[in-house]
Amino acid sequence: MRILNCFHTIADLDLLSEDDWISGSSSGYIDTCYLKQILNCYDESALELSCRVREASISSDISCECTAVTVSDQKTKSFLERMAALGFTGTDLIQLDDASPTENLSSERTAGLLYSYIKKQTAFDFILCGLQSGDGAQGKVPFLLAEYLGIRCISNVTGISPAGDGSLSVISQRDAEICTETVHGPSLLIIGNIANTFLRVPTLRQRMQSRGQKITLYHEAELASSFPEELNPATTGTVRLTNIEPVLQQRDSEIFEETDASKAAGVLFDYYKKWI
Amino acid sequence: MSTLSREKIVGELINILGADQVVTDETVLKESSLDRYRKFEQCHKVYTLPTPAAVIYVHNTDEVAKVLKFADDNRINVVPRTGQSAIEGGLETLAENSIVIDGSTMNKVLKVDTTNMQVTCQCGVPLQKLDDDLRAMGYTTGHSPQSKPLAQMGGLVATRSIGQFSTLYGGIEDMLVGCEVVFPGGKVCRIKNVPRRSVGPDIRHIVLGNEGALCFITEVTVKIFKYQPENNIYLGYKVDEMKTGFEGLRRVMVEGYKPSVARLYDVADSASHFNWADGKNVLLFMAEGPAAITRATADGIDALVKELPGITPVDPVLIEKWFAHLNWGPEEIAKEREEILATDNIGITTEISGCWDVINDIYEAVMDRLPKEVPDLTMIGGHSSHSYINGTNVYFTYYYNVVDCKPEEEMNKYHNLINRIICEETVRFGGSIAHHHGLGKARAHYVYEEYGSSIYMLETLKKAFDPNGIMNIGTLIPVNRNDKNPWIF
Repeated sequence: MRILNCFHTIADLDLLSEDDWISGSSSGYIDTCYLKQILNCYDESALELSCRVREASISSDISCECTAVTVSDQKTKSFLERMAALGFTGTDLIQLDDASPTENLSSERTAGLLYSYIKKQTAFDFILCGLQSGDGAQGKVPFLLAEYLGIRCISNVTGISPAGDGSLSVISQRDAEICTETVHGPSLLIIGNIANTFLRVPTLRQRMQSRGQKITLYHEAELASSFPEELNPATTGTVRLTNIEPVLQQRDSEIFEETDASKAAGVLFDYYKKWI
Repeated sequence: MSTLSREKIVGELINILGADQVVTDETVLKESSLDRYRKFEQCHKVYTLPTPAAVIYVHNTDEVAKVLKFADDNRINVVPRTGQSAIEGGLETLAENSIVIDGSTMNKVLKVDTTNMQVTCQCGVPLQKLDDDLRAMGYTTGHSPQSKPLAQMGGLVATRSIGQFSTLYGGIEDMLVGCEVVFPGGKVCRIKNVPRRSVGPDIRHIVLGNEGALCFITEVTVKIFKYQPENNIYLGYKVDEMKTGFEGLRRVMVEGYKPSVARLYDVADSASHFNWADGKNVLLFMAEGPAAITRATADGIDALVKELPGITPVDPVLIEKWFAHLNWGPEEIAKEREEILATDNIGITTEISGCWDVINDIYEAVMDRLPKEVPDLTMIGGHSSHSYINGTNVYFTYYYNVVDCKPEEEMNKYHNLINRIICEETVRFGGSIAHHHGLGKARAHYVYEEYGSSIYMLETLKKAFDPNGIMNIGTLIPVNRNDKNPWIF
């Protein structure tokens, strides 16, 4: 079984200062250059699921090879090194030709690059993508990719496990029901919201053992020739932030001081009575 | 220890304080039996230590005195606490039916004295709130440990804490002016506020760092300083060699510069903090204070550092923005807990200090031994964050996967083993096994090696001020010493 994980890294926006948000709202540009990169949470879940499938496959003697690919710049090298330490035999970086911040990438351009890359590889049985990224949040790349690859796509996947014969048992959420089915490749699985799927951490020993594994570099230009026309970046261009406004989250509040617990309860109750 | 039953202890505490101030909820008691030293157990809600009889919340010095007298008369172990940010086992209740005395309800700022540049507050005043209020007035305590969002003034003094701006403002020992404390038996003592005294040994140092093993701190007076953030200047450099970085710090201190921040991160620690480190060590500084001084400090440090080999300056804005997010509050702790439970990967720190001529040796010796002797490590790194004219500290940060072991076994399989290696190497080179986290119970087992012949002074202090041994048993001086395996506890 060959599994491909397409992942995206984003700036850790929790570390963005309020001043940067506010100054960004007037300029339309938020400076994230100083922020640590983190795995997009849905992609992280997808990577962890692949690790679990691989682990389960080893114990049941099924061959399972995992590859991780990202569309980015050299900053993501450390993430690919981590994948290598975790047993991903393929660690590929699609390097952008220009230095645009990756949050400005259009979904079409990303999907086109991934499509072209996939076409150059030995066929994958399963492609795993996160539901959406934490910065762009468009959620289009997996669907575009599946459409142009002409393969089945299942969204809101919340669990996968080997099902024998190179197939996977896939759990997905559809409206009001949870569906479990055996899925054969090639298929694209869009990983949704799954609790407790932080990507495992490789040991120093694992890192040392994988040190020799190369990150294969693909340049955007070499992939551009096989873009579907509709995904051609020359025509789709990039997405640019044009305006941001802070969402005011102030609440009405009153402050009162009372040291006696029963009197404090009385004050609160009187206040609460206004609302019922 | 005490022959009183748990029920009797609780009954007497209620008589002294009233039922409102005595908590006997089982969950609270279990959670109060440990601190973040047992982080893995804590996350898994595994409690292996004796459950205290009660957690009591005190409102004034008189209540503290009455409780300590009761505890002393009846040989009941007492564990003082305020902000609960302890990470070395100092809050663990090693004896059955201990009383945890929580001073967080003594949270009044009593006096802000801008003529004498001092602030007096009760032990439960949160440092973050105090400093925010002072900053609004144009002042600051200058004290900013990473635990600032949680820590309270009593605990900060009790642990000899230190903050991120210590190179300029000093540690808590430089800030404490006077205090009020209560000793076992209920004796209340007040040390007055003066700029300096030469009237015998400085008895403030009996209080500073006592970690609740000698007394309960009820009130502190600390210095305040003018708050002038508009003049802050940041400097940052990538450094090829850690040894060069240490030399850079040394020269800055020896030449007489006093940046408020002077830090050196090794490659591994840099990688976890800075996305621009590119596999290098990082040296950074902040100059703070009056404009002319900060400019001169920054210019002098910059010129000095650039004389060293293998230095690449970085944009100071990167340092400024990183620094704004260094502290840990309840949200970070909650997120960490979630990750630990999901990944079984846990991160811990151990900080030590050493003089300049040995600090790099300690660092390299530890970095050499840990990967060889500790299983399942996923990261080891370190940084220096507090420098002096005669040396600096190293704050080792390490992560490991907890593999094939129950939560209660994690301590001995990993945490204590790592601590032992770090302390052994530190003692071997003549450093101190704890720079600012305190001994707690975790490193108390190495107190004899740390003190050498001067253990006589510590033991005598303990016997003098706590003759019945009721104050936080196991902190500073271990309960039992296993000479063959001091770290199995």
